[in-house]
Amino acid sequence: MSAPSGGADWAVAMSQVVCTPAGYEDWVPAGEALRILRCAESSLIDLVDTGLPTRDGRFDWCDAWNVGLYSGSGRSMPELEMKLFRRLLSAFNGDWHTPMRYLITVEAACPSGPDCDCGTWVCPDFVDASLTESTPGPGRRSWSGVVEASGVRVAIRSRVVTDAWNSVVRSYRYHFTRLELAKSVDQTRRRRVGDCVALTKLLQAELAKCGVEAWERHGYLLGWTTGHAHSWLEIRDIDGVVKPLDASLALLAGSFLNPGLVGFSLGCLMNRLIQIRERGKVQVIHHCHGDRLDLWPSIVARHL
Amino acid sequence: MTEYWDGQFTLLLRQVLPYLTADMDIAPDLDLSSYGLDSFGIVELIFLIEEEYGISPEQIIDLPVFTTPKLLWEAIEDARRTDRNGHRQVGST
Repeated sequence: MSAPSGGADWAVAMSQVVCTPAGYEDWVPAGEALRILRCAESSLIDLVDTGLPTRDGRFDWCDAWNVGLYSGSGRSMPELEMKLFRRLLSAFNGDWHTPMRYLITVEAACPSGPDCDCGTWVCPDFVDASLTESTPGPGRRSWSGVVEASGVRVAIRSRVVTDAWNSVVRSYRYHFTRLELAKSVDQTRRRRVGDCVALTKLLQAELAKCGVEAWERHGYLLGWTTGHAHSWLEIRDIDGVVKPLDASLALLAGSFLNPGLVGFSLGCLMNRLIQIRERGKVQVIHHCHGDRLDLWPSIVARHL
Repeated sequence: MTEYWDGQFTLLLRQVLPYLTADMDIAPDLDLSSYGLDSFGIVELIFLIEEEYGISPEQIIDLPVFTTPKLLWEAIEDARRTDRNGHRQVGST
């Protein structure tokens, strides 16, 4: 499946990537890195020469994704994923806020497979959803039904909030980030890059310094073949209205998706986002053989 | 298997099925995931289909159609008869 790396400039890509710090790596085989980058083996050697960390012929999963994202090849998997999301954002006449209804299927699999003891399963509590539970097979559980994604479009009035937002959006860049690393605000400040979790926690900390309370919200973005877990912030604005701040989407949009989404992400939520209730769990909770398991579900959605 | 689809479709599938050997036929009900079609391959296939058949991603992204060649080909055929606004093309059969 590998293909020539097109217009990739590995030195430029590496100059834009902040590699995963020691202790947070998730080492994957070179073959997996090649699949992500979709480049020739010689390009991987070039990347190592340019500074891409490697250990025993293995590569950090996030480093590979970030190099691909910034490679400019047009063929790496992260670029194709962004291309797909960009295309789907422009569907439905580029309408990002009119409520949309989706038929979704949420499915989780127990790691014990057929040996699962069929303990309890709890689906994430989606907003405006009506789901029916079923058992597609041993050790698996699925929930299907209709969910409405109500876009939000309001203006932020607080100058303090807008200033904090502008500071983050101007000073940081999007990077795929391991969850353990994303949870560290200090690491995000040091690296100046992050994903939705990292940037949400960072903006929350910046707002807290200004005396503004903000809380995390979770959901799934429907912009790819499956839903992607997503985090953003909510604040109560000076007019008393609760409003969203989606810093990671703004950063992704500015660099890879649609510049129009940068401003939209301040006070707005897309109708491609299905929300989980406040303080609700983003993962499927399953009990098996006495253990609690937090499982990432696969989410497939069809626009109705 | 050309009674189901055109030769180009076979070539597209072979590009994204790493476990399918050159001497194997592609049966209509072949389990695509068993032959290596994963989320990477699906994204790749979506754009290959767009290049080959002019079908935009939003017309084909319904994941269950990527289960077997037959379902996928039927989705392609259906999309070719339908414009991007969901309207059936007049005069098509």
